[in-house]
Amino acid sequence: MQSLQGRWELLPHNVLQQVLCLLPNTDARNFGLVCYNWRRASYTVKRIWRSAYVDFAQDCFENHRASLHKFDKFMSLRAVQHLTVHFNSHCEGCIESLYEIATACALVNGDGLKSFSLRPSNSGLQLATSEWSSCDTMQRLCRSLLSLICHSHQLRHLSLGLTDCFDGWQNKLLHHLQQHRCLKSLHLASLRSDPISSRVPFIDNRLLRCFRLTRLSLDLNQVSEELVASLARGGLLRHLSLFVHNDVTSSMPALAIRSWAALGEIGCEATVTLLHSPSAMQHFRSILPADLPLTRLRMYFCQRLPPTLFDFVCARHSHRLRCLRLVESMNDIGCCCRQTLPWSRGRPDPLMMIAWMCPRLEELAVYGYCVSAHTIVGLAALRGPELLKLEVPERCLYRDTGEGGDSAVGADPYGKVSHWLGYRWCPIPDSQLPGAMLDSDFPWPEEAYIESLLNDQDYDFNVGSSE
Amino acid sequence: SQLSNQRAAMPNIKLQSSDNEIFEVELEIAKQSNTIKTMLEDLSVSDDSDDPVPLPNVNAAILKKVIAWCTHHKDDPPPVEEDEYKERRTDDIPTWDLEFMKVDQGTLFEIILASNYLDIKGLLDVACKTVANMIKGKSPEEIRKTFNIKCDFTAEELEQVRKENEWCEEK
Repeated sequence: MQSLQGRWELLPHNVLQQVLCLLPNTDARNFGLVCYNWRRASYTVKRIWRSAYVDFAQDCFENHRASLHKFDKFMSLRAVQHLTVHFNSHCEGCIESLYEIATACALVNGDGLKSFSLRPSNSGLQLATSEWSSCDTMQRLCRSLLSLICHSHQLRHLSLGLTDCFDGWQNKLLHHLQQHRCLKSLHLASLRSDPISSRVPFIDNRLLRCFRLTRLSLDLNQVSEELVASLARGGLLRHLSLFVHNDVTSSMPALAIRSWAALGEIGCEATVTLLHSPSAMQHFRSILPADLPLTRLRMYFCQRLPPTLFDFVCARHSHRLRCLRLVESMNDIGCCCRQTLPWSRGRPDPLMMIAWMCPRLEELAVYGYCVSAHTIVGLAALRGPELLKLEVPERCLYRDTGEGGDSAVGADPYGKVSHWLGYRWCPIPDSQLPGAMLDSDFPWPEEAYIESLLNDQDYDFNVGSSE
Repeated sequence: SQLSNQRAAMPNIKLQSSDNEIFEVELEIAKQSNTIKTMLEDLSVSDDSDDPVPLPNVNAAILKKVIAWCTHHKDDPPPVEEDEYKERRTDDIPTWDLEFMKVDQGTLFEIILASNYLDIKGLLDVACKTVANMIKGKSPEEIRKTFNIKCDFTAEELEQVRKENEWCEEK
């Protein structure tokens, strides 16, 4: 024992655990960051290890094997209540690991799991092997995920991140989901640019039994009159997130829903996200009906925004709208090309109009359209500190030399914007832009949005703990 | 005979430190150590045996401290078992113990090991509370500095650890 001589890192585990029991959670977590041995001791204190984050997103097979091993060693799956798995959805090894984790968790966790989120690196599963639907790995993954979902009776939150893997298994999944009485938050939307789910009807009336949901993410073409009416009757839904893909036609049943207003009456907020949907823009009046309690509108790579869109949004949704996010690729945007937002003749600058008309607007992001420094200063002056986020890339900003704009903006427009907003503001530099925004031929356009869309689908600890 | 009477009333026991110093202690005081207690019971060492109990893991300086603590606490009620997973207070250390724990870190470390080896719950409790108080409010780096611990995570582990921690934040 003399040989230990003040080597605190080698204190016996029972002593370390006793010290841990005396520490509040923040200190206990810091304790676990000190060294390997203290870390291992900290895993036995269940109260600080309610959540697990597993990252298999590395490309290399060996790497995520190692991290799986570490997960086993480091963490006791038994105690985990919140499991999030980040994985590379284009890597077979990663999917294999995901399968192992799901299987292990279904086996040892019993029904302790309260939230389960998948965070794929890309919006679809894609393996080197040809057809994934016939692939063994995929079948096993699907079975293990279903078994995990089936056994977790206390599940409150489920975010699949991608719906691909359940292609052909939707029936089973729905069957399990309708047994889950605790389920509060469910995310089954497809984040793909070419959603596979649109080919297969995913949701049917069994989802109607999930009327206790407080948060729900779905593709717009999965929504039916019955579902919306049932959610409105349930009275608990706080947030509905709808995803629109390019396959919208005016004949879609979702576009003629009469119950949107009822949803608004129970205090539900709606987010509409359009992904790669230039043709859907023709139906924007139907996609964003006046009764829909629209609070957030996000459009990624929709290209042909009709000039009347902003007039329509201001006229119908101004009283609720809190967030507007427009993203286009920017490879053409330079000093010579000034593609601005479509602007109807005789109408004010659409951004200024939105800022002026929407009293609750707190987030405005415009990528891929030129914005004049004059407008940015104007937006900041108009909204002030209420505008919590104002995102414009540096390369899209230009200084308007006509109409005496320059003199109004002065030498230091960012300073002026910061002054009005009440916090330090600067445009987004190229280095912080995802490749998908800079290059329209980028192989994975979802890089521009998948992170933030998945963040939306994370377990909400605030909601989770208050219930 | 008077001497033997006194012995019967207050039997003593001899403890031998790792550096071969002998300490004579009242049996009741020594029995606060579960290790010594079991040793006496299991080995059926008779109370009036003159053979010292060897404690090869505790040196004289520390054993002296431990005996001092046990002597002061000889009339304490037996410690109660507490829920292992519940967070407990650390601001309830009695004044005498606070003074007792005002020692250099090497000594504190030795006291912890000794009380753990001798299984003296009360002393280990106070020592752990002292350590907990030294950790509270400190960053991992500050904790390492306080206890002179080297960060032995690999870069990969550090990344994993950082992620895990991000996700176990209780918001």
